[in-house]
Amino acid sequence: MVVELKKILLVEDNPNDAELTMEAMHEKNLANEVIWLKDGQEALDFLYCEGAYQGRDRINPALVLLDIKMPRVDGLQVLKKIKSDPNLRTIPVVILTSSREESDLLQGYEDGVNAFVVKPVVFGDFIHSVSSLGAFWAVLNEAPAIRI
Amino acid sequence: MTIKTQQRLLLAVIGIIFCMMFGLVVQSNRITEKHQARGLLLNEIIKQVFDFSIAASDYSMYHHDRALEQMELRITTLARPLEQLEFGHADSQAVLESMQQELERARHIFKQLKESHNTFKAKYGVDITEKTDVFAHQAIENFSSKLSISAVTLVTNAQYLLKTSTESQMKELRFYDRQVMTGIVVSFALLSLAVFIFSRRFVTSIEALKDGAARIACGDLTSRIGLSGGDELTDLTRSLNEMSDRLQESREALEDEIEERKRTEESLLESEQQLREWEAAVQRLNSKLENQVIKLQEANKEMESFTYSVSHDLRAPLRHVTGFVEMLNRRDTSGLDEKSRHYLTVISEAATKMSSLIDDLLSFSRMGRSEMMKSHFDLKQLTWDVIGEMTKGLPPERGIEWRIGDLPEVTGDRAMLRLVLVNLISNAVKYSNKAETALIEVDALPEENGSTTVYVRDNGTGFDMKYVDKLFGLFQRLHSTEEYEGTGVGLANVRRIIGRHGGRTWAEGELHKGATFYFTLPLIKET
Repeated sequence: MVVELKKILLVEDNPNDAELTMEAMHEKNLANEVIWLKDGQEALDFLYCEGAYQGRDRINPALVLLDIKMPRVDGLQVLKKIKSDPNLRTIPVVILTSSREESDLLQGYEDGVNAFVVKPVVFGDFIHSVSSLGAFWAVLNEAPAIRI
Repeated sequence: MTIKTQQRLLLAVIGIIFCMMFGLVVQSNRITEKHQARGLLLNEIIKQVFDFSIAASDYSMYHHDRALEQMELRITTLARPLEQLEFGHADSQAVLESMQQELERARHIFKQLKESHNTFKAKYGVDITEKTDVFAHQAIENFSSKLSISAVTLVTNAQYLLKTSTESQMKELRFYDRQVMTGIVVSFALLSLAVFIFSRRFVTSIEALKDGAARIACGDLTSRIGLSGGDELTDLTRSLNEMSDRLQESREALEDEIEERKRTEESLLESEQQLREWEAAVQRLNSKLENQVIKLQEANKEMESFTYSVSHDLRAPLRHVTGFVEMLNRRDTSGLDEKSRHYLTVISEAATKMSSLIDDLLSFSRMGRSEMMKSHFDLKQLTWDVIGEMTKGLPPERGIEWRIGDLPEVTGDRAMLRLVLVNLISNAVKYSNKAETALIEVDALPEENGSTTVYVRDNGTGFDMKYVDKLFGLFQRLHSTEEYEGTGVGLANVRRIIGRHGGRTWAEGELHKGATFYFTLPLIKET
C-alpha cells in the first residue's frame, strides 16, 4: 500500500495571495504539499480527474483551501459540488476569503464547509492563520485516505 | 270716532227716538183712553137722561110711582158721571158746569114733583089725573115738563160735549200721529243716513283694504293702504300696514341673509377649491418626496454596497503590500542601508494603518446594512458585561471608579447596542487615562416622551464645545494618533446604530474637565 503524501489543494485566483500562502506553508514545511489551482473549474477538473488532469491518480487531497471570489466557477459552487458528491464529501474544505460577508458565511456552513477563515491583512497574523490551518488539517487531523 | 261709538250713538239716538215715540204712543193712548172714558161717561149720561126722559114721559102719561122711582133713580145716577167728568178746555168745562147746575135744578124740581106726587097720593090715594086735582096735576105737569126740558138740555149739552170731545180727541190724536210719523220718518232718515255713511265707509275701507291686501298677497310689499278716520278700520289699516312693514323688513332681512349665505357659499366653494388645489399640491409634493426618499434609499444602498465592495476589494492588495513588505523584512536586510530599512518600515506601518481604517470602514458599513435583530434585554446587565470585558485588558495601575445607575430594560439589537456601549465606555476609559482615578458614570435620565436617555460620563480630557459637531463624524478626530489611538469611527458607529433604533445622540464637554455622551432609545412596551 503506497501512502501518498497528504496534499493541500489551494484554489486561489490571485497570484500574490497564492505566493503569500505558499510562504506561510513554507514556515511549517508544508510547501511541497501545496497544489495551486487558479479557479473553481480547474479545481473541479482536478478533483474529478478530468480535463487537464485526466490520468491523475484518483486520490483526494487532505485539505482544500478555497477562495470565494474566482472567475468561471466560484468558491461556493465548488464547495457545493464537493459536499454533495459522495466521493468527495469527506474532503475537509476551508474557505479562506478576503472578507467576512455574512451571507457567504451562512451559505458556506449550510453547504457543509469545515471552517471559514478570513485572511488577515497583517502579514504576521496571515502567516499564523494559514500555517495553523495547514498544520492542523493536513498533519494533525485524521482524514480518510480514500482511493476513488 | 270709532265705529263702535258711532254705532252706540246711533243706537242711542234711535233709542231716544223710540222712547219718544213710545212716549207719544203712550200719550196718545192715554188721550184715547181719556176720551173713551169721557165718551163712556157722556154716553152714560145721555142714556140715563134718556131713560129719565122715558120715565118722565111715562110718568107724565101714567103718573106711576114706578116711573117716579125710575126718574129718581136716574137723576141720582146722573150725579156720579157728571162729577167724574172734567174738561181741560174752558168752554167745555163751562158747559159741564151748566150741566151740573141743570141737574141740580132738575133735582130740585124733581123733589118738588115728588113731594107733590106724594102729597097728592097721600091725599087722594089714586093716580094723578087731571080730573082729580087740576091744580096739583098742573103743578106736576109743570114740573114734568120742566124736567123734560132739563133732560133735553142735559142731553143736548151732553151731545155737544161728546162732539167737542171727539173733535178735540181727533185733533190731539192727529197731533200725536203726526209726531209719531215724524219720529218714524226722522229715525228712518237717520238710519238710512247712518247706513249710508256706514256702508260707504265700509265699502271704501274694505275696498281699500281688499286692494291693499291683494297687493301684499301678490308680493308687493312696498304699497301701503291710505285710510284715514279715527276708527277701527283705520286701526286695521295701520295693522295691515305694519304687517306689510314687517313683511317687508323680514323679506329684506331674508334677502340680505340669502345674499350673505350666497357669499359664504361662494367663499366656501372658493376655499374648497383652494383646499383641493392644496391637497393636490400636497399630494404632488408627497409623491415627489416619496420619489426622493426612494432615490435616496437607493443611493444609500448603492453607497453602502459600493463602500463595502471597495473596502473588500481593497483588502487584498493591502494584504499583499503588508505581506511582501514583511517577507522582505524577514529576508536578509543587512544589504540594505539605514534609509532603505526606514522606508520599508514606513511602508509597512502605512499599510497596517490603511488596513485598520478599511476594517473600521467595513464594520461601519456592515452596521448600516445588516438586519437588526430586536430583543428585550436589561441595559444594566449589558453594561456590566462590557465593563467586565474592558477592564480585563487594562493594566492594573488604571484606577477607575465605576458608577452605574438604574438603567432600564430596552428593546433593540443587543449586539449593536453592545457595540455602542463598547465604543462609549472604551472612549471614556481611553480619554481619562491621564487622570489619577478616572470616574466613569453610566446612568439614565427619567423617561420622557416614551424614550429613555442614557449617558456615559468621564472626568478625562474632555473637549472644546466648539468642535461638538465634528465628534460624531466618520473618521473625525480631535486628537492625533500619538495622543490617543483610534481611527475616529467609534462615535460614527454609535450615531449610526442609535439612529437605526430611532434615537438621538449628542455630547457635552469641557476641556480638561470631562465629557458626557448621551443617546436616547425609544421605549417600546412589551410586544
